[in-house]
Amino acid sequence: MGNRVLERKGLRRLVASPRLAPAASLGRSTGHLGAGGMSRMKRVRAGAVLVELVVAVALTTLVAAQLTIELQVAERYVRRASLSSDDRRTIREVETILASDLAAVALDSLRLRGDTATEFFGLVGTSVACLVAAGELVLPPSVAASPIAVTVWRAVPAAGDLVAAFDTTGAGAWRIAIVDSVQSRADGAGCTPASGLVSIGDSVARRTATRLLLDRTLPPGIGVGAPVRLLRRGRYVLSRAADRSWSLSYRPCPAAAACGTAEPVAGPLGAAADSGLVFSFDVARALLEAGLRAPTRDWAPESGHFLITLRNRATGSN
Amino acid sequence: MTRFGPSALRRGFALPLALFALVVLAMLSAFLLDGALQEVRISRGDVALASAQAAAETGLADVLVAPADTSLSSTARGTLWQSVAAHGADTVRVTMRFLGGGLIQTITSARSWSLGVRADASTLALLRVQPDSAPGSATLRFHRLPGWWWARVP
Repeated sequence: MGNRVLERKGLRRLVASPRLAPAASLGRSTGHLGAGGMSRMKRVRAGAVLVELVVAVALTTLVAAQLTIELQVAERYVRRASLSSDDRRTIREVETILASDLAAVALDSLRLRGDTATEFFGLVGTSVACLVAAGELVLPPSVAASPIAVTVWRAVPAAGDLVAAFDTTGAGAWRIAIVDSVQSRADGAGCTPASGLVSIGDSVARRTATRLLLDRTLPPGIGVGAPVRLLRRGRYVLSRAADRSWSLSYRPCPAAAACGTAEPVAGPLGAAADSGLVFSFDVARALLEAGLRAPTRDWAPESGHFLITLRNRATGSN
Repeated sequence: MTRFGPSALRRGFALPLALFALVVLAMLSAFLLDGALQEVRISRGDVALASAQAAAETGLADVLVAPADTSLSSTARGTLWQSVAAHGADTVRVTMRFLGGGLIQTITSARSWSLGVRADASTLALLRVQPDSAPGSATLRFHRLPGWWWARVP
């Protein structure tokens, strides 16, 4: 639309006004924009950028504020979920440890010490007598070429452990002795393939047999092939560490000595006052009951409760 | 595009901010997802382990109710006998080691799967081949040793 057309329609005066100057320039051919037109355009464009910037900053602030709130909520949720997950894992770990150790305990060897500790004869390992002599017992290697090893250790045997060996005389009974010392012998210590408990391959490979020196001579009813188990008195107790956290701890209690220091095995648990670990024992039903609670948080702490049936009895032992 | 002045102003910061927010949210989502999957894996492991322990103990219970053979009392010490039962991918293996004098060390091992997570459990028991306690019965059965006879194998 040229100037002539604008004049004909009576719009020439309006076009001359500064407000519509850029619109008028559109009617001109390229290259006819004067210096005054450029400066006016710059002013108009600069104003538009500032407004846009303010609006953009305001919107961004709003979005950032909302995002920060959302992130804080998400962070709190993640932290809470992570702590709850850790607490559940700890409770499962404690359950596994207690169930694994206490399920094999003989009912009549288990005692409660208050409601946060239990004392028992735990299983160190099981084996079969390969050689029985006066005050001496030799057990086959725990690593063997056969599909299952004769000897299964849950812990390393040590002096002070109890040996229970099965005497086949009559109805059979477990006879008890105390281990004075433990030797690992690559020469087999007299446990040979002739016993049927060590293969020729194991003997040639010089797999380590365990020789136990005992405080007494075992009765003659205990011979080669007699089932043997090693026991160790110990306690599981809820204890507090130096950093004031509570955990399940194990205290070894050797046969002829006082209990040792408590070593934490799983935690943290709730404090004793918050029922972090509570045992109860129903002798008649042979049930050990344990209640667990995670440390106190801003929300309801995770908790667990389980029962262990004790199927073994120490009857027949002396 | 050239209306709004220098290129640094034109680029703005909304896009980098949005990208940053997306990265943070993606990391949070990934962390949450990983935590959730970890819980699922642990739960599946627990289910598989409980199933394996139950299967191992069921295998042992089956041994205890099975009639024994007279030849078992005189089987040579150290002789091994094995039996495997499979149900899909789950297996139960019963291994007996004869100790002489009718004494038997039995290990029942079970492997169980729960949605791709595997667990193994083993139970050790000490048994003795003896006549059935029922009056007049001449059947031999596997009896538990008096007192201590059972434990889970680590």
